[in-house]
Amino acid sequence: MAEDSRGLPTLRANDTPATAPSPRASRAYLRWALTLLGIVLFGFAVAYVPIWKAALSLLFPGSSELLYPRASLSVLVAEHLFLVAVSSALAIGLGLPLGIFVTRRSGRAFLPLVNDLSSLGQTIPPVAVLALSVPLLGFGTEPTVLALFLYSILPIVRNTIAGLNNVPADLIEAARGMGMTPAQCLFRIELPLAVRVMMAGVRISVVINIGTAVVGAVVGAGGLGTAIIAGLVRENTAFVLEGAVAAGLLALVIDQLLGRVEELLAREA
Amino acid sequence: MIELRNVTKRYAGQTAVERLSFTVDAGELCVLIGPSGCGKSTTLKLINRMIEPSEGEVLIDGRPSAGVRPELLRRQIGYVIQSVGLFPHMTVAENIAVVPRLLGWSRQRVAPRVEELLSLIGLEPSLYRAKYPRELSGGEAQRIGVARALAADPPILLMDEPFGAVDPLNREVLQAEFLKIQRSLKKTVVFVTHDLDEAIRLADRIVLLSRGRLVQIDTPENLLSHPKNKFVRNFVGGDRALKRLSRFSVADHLQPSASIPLFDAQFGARVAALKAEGRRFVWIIDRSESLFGWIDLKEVDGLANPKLAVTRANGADIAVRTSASLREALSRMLGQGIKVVPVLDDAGRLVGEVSLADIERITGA
Repeated sequence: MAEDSRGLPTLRANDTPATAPSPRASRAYLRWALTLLGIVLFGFAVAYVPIWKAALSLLFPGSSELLYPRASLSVLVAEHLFLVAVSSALAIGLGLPLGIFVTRRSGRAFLPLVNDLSSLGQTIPPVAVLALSVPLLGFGTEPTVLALFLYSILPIVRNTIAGLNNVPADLIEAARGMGMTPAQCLFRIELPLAVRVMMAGVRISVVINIGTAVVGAVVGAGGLGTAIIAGLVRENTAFVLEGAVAAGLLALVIDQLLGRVEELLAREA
Repeated sequence: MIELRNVTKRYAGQTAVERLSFTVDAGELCVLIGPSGCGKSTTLKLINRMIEPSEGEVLIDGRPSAGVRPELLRRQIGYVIQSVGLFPHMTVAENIAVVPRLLGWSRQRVAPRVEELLSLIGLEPSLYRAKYPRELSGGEAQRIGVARALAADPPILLMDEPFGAVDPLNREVLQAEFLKIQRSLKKTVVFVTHDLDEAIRLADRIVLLSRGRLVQIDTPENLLSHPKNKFVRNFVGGDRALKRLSRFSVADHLQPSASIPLFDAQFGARVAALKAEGRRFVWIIDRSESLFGWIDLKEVDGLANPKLAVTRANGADIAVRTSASLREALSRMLGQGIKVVPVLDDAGRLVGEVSLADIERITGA
């Protein structure tokens, strides 16, 4: 920046114009490529059993049974993903609209109630939810999805509220003053500006959910918890490691994928 | 045209604005001013229905504004706020295009309009349209805020302390630029400020408010020369004669000056001729017609060469520009202990002079 005779900033020809191709875009492609590579590697590792056998036999040289025998790792991962996907979809589907509603003028009265209820969902241990809901819902997927849903809704609601409340009031005043309807103001100004904080909530929630979904095995919902529990019962640490390492890797891969989605949403906004 | 009829706004027992009635004519720049809490911002927001009146009505072009959906009403009214409120996730071009897009303009119509507005506010479109607000200086952001308000060519413009957050130097530049734009566009402008100098400089008429009531509505000249009561007199202050001077521009009141080029072959003869006319001071200019100094003609008597009587003077120290106000001219006179100041154009050429006697004549009138 140079200054003209009035002391005002002016642009010289050699200042970088904003239209120059930015290195930012190429870095975004690189991150996408790495994320997709991670997914492919994870898929390969899950499907290719000899890797696990080799790794676990190094750790447990004397053991004859290294992998949970009654279901393959890829089936356990698929079951696990199913539990996480259903419960997180429900939490996102309810949490985002709820967070938006209580930051509107018409819904502000419900803000404390929604805050308290979502905190309550987080404080009751998922195992307790399972124990209480099995008599009503039976064994299997349903009580597990309920427990995971209750446990994962808090970060989503809280971050949606925080993201929307952090949009500067003067921007909303400017938007309304220029003639935007409340809905236009929400979709064109508030949500685009809040999307990063909201997506951070979704990421936290989903990652925690991947870890918590292990409890589903207790009531026969399948998933990676099945191997862990079998390992605990039979005192076979190799089974425990099989389930835990796979769950950890799954969480990493999904978090990266959601990070890319977050960037995509923030860029389009 | 905007008309407020007996407008009252109450909040939980407190009255923000009380039975306010005034009219802003088409093409007029009306400034709302008063101490903090006087209701000036509330009044502005009553016009575009950001705030709904408790009683009374607002008419826009003779039609009650209450009969139009607020969003549709606001798209016909430009709105500029102090913090500018540019949307950080949109480029400059997208920010300017907000209201045209709300009005459903086609892309082919929006793009040239954005270019036109950027040129109008003096920012090169090719450099600025793709920038984001975080890449702008305060003055640039403020200009773009004005461009955004003008985007759909609304007949009315509401401005809430638009230059309040800009430093004083840039504020004067922005004020001058805005006046220039307003003179060509002739919008009906309602402008809120707490800065009396700004009000005096910009306003066609000033509405002075106190505790939600109208105290005086008048031209800046009348407000300063005929304050209605003690409150107004205190508000405009003891220096109101000085403040009035900032309404008068040097360009409108400059007198022709006598000047001689330093290297004029007939220097002596021209000095004698001007002395014979009864002049006392003569400006001396150099080859580029900028100020070199002056001669007090009383001192040339008895000198072999009248050039020996020339006093060197720097234009930057003693002269004023045509764009300055008489207030600045007077300030120069007092600062330099002189009774006449030379006036230079933008290129620095001597174009005339202003004397203390001229200023006295104007303030006396």
